[in-house]
Amino acid sequence: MRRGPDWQGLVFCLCVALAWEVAARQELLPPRLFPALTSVLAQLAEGTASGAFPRALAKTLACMGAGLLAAACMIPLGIWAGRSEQVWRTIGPSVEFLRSLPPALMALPAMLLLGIGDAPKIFAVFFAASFPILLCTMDGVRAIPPLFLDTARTLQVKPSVLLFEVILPAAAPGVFSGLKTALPMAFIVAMVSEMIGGADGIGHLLLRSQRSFDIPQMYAIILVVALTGGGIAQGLYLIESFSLRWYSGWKRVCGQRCD
Amino acid sequence: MLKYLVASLVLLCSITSARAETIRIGYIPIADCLQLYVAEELGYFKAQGLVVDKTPLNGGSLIAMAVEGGELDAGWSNTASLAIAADRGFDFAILSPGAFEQAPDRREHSLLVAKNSPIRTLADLKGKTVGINALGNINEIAVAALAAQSGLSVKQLRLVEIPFPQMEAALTSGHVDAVLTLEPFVTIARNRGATRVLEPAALKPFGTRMLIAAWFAKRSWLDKHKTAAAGFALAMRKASAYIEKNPAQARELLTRHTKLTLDLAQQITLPLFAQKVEDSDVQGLIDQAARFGYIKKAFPAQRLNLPATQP
Repeated sequence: MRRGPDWQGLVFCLCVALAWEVAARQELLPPRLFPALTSVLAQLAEGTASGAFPRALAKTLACMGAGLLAAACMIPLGIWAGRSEQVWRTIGPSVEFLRSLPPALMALPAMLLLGIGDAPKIFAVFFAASFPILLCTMDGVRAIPPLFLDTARTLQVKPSVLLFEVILPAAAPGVFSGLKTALPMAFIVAMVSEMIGGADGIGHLLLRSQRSFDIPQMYAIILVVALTGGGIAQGLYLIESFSLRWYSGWKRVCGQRCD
Repeated sequence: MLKYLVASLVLLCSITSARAETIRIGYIPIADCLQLYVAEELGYFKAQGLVVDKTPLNGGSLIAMAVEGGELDAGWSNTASLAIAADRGFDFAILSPGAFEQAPDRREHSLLVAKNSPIRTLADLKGKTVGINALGNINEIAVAALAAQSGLSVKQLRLVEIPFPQMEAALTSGHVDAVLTLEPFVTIARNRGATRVLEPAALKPFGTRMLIAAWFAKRSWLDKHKTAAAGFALAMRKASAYIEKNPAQARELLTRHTKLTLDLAQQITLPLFAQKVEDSDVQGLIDQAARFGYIKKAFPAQRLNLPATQP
């Protein structure tokens, strides 16, 4: 399953970095608005060493934690809605309507209703993360192969065993695909709400560096954000492949897809 | 017949446009940019052979980036942002003075709190949330300087960005504890009566007379367009003189270029439109910016000033 390091990808990445450096050094774009990669990296090192970037990032990640809160609420709801046609018929239309709203948009009304502290940020992040988790969990539950449920019924297992040992593990691929959409989204929304009426966090720092003409720092923060986003995605991938070990094995045995 | 008429019109237009030089200007559609409206309506630009192509933008930093990138030739910026940009190696210079504040009756920036707020003095702001229109600009440095007068560091306050028009609502709904706002919002808030003035002259740490904002351009552009720059500066000086001499008419003009009603336009405190920038109009701000770490080191005001465009 696992391959060696992706040389092609690494080489391409280095080429892009080199192109950036050359374009900036040759002043193909206004040099003060497009600094060289090396001066951005120097800013990155400075901001990291001084603790300014890590402190701001910690604030943002804490705010993003509201995404985990969304998971805690939406996974149970998704399982319920996936099992019961009645529940989905009740909440379905509202969910379909609300989820079409771009999540970053919610930062604005949230600020009007909840003010300028942490509450509107937590609300916006919760809102953004909820729908992917809810819908993917529900789909995951609906896609459980009938064989699993029939077997459980034949063996007359207790409801709690059915839930925790059959439904939850079998729906896990769906839950994870929801989390893989929701948590990076939560990170984005956390930053956007820090830019609108925020007093701290990485989004606020980004806005401040643009406002005070500190352009290399602005790019350095964007690199921090990119690296963090990549880290979140990679972390989720690792957790997923660890907890779904059975799934890939099962897929091989059955020779069929079940997501 | 019609064909000839159109052809001669086109010819006429191309002749005039060949003679007139176009300057692309970024501005904020507020009362402080009054010179621009006056110079345009009274034909001061045309008299200098200039066509001014004006783009309304939302904030000074947007304008500065567009001027640096070359999409605009010149623009409006608060003086603090010009000083910070200079400190970071940007090469902006003042093309023409803009709006000034002068004690005691030409002060247009105030620090407001809600009417029933427990905040009585600047020292009470410790740990509170203060709304400013943009981070790191003249208003943030003013908050830092006012706080320092009461022995507070700006780090002991929470500064958030709120657009000027939303400040009063943010204050009365309790989302922020204080706001630094300017005219016409000071007058609007006073008329509504839900707020209280904590500091009527919020920019006083910068001196009794100071340059709030100015028209600026890149030095490289100024060197290449000396005639246009001088013409623009002269048109703006004439506009300043007109405003100071005919305040009632100038206020009426405001209603056509901003969202102000005539009633409000007659009530607000206008900034001062002076003929010339003295070094002392800018130096106080530069020194305070350096004192609170917004720029690395204070520098002489002359570095922002362009004597060539002064009378």
